[in-house]
Amino acid sequence: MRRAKVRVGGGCRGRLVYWAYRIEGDIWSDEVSRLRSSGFRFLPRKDKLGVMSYFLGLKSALYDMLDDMRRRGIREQYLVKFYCVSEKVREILSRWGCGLRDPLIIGAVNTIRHLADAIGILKFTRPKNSRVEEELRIYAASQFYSRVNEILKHSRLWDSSNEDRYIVCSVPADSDEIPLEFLANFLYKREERVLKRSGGRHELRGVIVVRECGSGQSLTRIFLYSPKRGGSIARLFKQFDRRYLSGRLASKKSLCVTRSSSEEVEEILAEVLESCGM
Amino acid sequence: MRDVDSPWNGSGMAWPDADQVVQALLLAMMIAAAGMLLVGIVETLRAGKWRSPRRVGLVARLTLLVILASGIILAVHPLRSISHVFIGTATYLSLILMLEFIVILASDRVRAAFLNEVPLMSKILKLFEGRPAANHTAWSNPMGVVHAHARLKTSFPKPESSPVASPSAQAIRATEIHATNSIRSNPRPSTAATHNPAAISLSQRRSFRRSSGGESASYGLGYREICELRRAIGQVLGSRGLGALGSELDIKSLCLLVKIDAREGLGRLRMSSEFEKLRRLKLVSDRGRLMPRGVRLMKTLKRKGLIEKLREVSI
Repeated sequence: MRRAKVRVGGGCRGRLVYWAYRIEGDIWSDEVSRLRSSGFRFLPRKDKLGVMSYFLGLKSALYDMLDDMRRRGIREQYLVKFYCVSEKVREILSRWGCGLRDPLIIGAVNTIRHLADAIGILKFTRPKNSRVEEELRIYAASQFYSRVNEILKHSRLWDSSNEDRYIVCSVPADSDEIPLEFLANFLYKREERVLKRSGGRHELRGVIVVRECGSGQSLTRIFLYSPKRGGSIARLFKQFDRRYLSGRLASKKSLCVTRSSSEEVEEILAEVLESCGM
Repeated sequence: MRDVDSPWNGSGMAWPDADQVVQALLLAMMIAAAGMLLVGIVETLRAGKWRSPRRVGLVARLTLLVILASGIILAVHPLRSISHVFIGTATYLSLILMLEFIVILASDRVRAAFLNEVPLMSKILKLFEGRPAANHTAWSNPMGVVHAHARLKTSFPKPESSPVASPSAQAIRATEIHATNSIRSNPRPSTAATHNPAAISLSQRRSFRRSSGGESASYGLGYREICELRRAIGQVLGSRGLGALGSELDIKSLCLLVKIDAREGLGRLRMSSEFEKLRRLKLVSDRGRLMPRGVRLMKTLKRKGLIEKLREVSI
């Protein structure tokens, strides 16, 4: 029986939950190689609170593990050790959801149970700040953030001005596993850090992230994030764009959906920002 | 004989008369003007980042003010008796002033700096420049004298339009001041040329050759490509397009802009003069990213398929 260790992190602070597992080699056949894998998942808003995020993270990790077993043709069972970050998660999982009435949680726990039965044995342990757990935590986070950095590296960035500026970022269409909101938030923090480090007098007004999503007809989503309340850009964009479809316009976070391509959207945004003098 | 009571109570002191005071004032003003012009010239010729255009502007304005003030003083109090000392000093100072004016007129850089810093001067000059160019037609005489009755021109029969513009039309050219602090000639097509497509094309080709500085400055791009580029850039930048009056944009800068758009590493190019030009035109931000105007320009060039041609150009 091979030993596997799973850790699920994030979750409680937001919509993001990421997981990582490590499968040790078979000790009886002197197999020293280790297999590591990681993943992440952005939860729907209704699932982002409470323990549900951990169940969904564990479910994804077990799915991935099972896929990997099938792909490599391993028929051996795994002894999966799951580091429960929350005491409540451990309680629910140890009773397999007995006594709970929430159908969402019961459904997720039942899925985990079936997956665990298919893989081998699932064992729950309290987090001990062990070396393996720390390694898994760092691995999962680093894999996720390297993916985010890769997306931003391949995206088109431009400034609206030299002074108090907006940053417009057109991300590639294949990055739809990461929400625009997260990308905007991450980019804003990164740019602000760079500004502070360079000692610039001007501040960042906001970030505008554009992504084309091809689902049948091409739609482009524009997410405008401005913590200093700059909702006017979204309203102006709505007026400038003739193929504007729908959106949620607010002062801090606005989302616009349009039928224009990302190239056209960039041009419209350039006109909007130029007319605003930003 | 003056009534002198005592040589020690001041009654015998010779007080300067008004003429002497005015002469002294005029000399002081001439010295001030000469000194300030010298400061302005030195300031302009100083290369690098220490050059302060504001100081040059201040010097030019103060010189104008001093000349104006001395004129007013002379108008209010005309000189009656002029001393030899005054004449000698004034001659010497006027020589110095003339020398400085020669330096200002001879050096493109100094002249452009002085004209740029005092907008009134450049406006007046433009006014003078604009007139002959606007009024000059193929019917005006070869000496450049404008016809007294401009309306009569329409009643005259039109001469045979030649594919080559007449030498008189080429002779009169309006000067244009470029932001690169150099003055160069800008030919305006004559009315004869505007009626003939062949002449239009010929004059355009000539102006292209002059404005692009020949084949070497166009980096292997053909006439048509440059024309297309000009048109595309003109749509976005308006009057500050490629080869336009006061524009700094050139092919090299455009290639750098394409590089920035393609997210290629800039490296040392960030310190180049081309980057500075793009930054001044607000096409690129201080951080080396495109700005709205640059984005629009790139989109226009992409739409017209000119980006690939610019990518092929090696700078």
